[in-house]
Amino acid sequence: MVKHIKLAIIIPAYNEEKTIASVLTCLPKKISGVKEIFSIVIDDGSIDETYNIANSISNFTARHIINLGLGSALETGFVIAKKTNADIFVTIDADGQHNPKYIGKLIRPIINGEAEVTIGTRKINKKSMPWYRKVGNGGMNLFTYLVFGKWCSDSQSGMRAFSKKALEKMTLYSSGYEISTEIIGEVKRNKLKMKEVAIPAQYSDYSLGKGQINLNFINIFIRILSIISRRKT
Amino acid sequence: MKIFSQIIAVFLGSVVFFKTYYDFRKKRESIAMFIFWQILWLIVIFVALDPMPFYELMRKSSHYNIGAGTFLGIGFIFLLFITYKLYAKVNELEYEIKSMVTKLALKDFKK
Repeated sequence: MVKHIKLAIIIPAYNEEKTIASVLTCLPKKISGVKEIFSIVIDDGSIDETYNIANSISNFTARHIINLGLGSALETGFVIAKKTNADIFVTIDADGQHNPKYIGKLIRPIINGEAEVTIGTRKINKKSMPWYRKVGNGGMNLFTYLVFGKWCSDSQSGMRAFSKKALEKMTLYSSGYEISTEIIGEVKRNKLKMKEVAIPAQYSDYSLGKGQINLNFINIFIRILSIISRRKT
Repeated sequence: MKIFSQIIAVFLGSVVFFKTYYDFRKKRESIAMFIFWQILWLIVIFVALDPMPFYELMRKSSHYNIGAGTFLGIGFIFLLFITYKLYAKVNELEYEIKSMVTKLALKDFKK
């Protein structure tokens, strides 16, 4: 087990000026067993005030000059987090969909050595999730299972935690939303210990309007095929 | 079926016509490329609306008795190849842009 754990919370953001400040200020200041907590915001080419707001609150801020997609933003976040010698890496969405209070619960299995990767599955208060989201997520879970052979009951959740070792083993190519599916594939490929941690589904009109639409499935499918072929060549 | 292909040809031709015109007006397209696309798609529209001169031309110019169907089949394979080339090129460019943007972000990131 790692002593004096450093925790990096990576928040990819794209045009999130309305929510980024509240997400950052709600991040836990103290978690039992963790010595240092810091946030890293990756502004993925926002055209609003996201970067300036994040820059005034977050510990680290980086900016993509154009919008590349969720996968690329996370990749940049991971690179910065590795430079800071973090031991555990957490990712959460910037639209306020995830309750930062659950970060402690999310990383507990990693601190205890029970898992190398944890996924925050939106099981608590699941009724608040609209039916089309449930259908979309169910379809993506099935797709992820069929392609990579690893079941995750919320494969598209943006709230995840990784140990340093797990992240070093993973090779991610995705630039967009398909990153969520690819992460599960990498867990399987590298035989990493994964645990699902129940978190609340926290939806607002704002976050529903910002999330990925079910039609993205086709796009994700094509991109995942491209990633698989890249790995095999 | 014929009317269906004619509608598609006119629709796609109009899309290309207005898009290239818009790009040309915005100075994103050179005059040479603008004229090239206009002529090419005008030919496509004319052939779709009245294919007989095209069939006649095929019949007269072909020494190997190649029919219009064979000609279109070869054209389709060629288009698939072009599509693949474009896909590969876009992938390559996307990768290069991603590397460049990430490098810039890492260079300028603030503590």
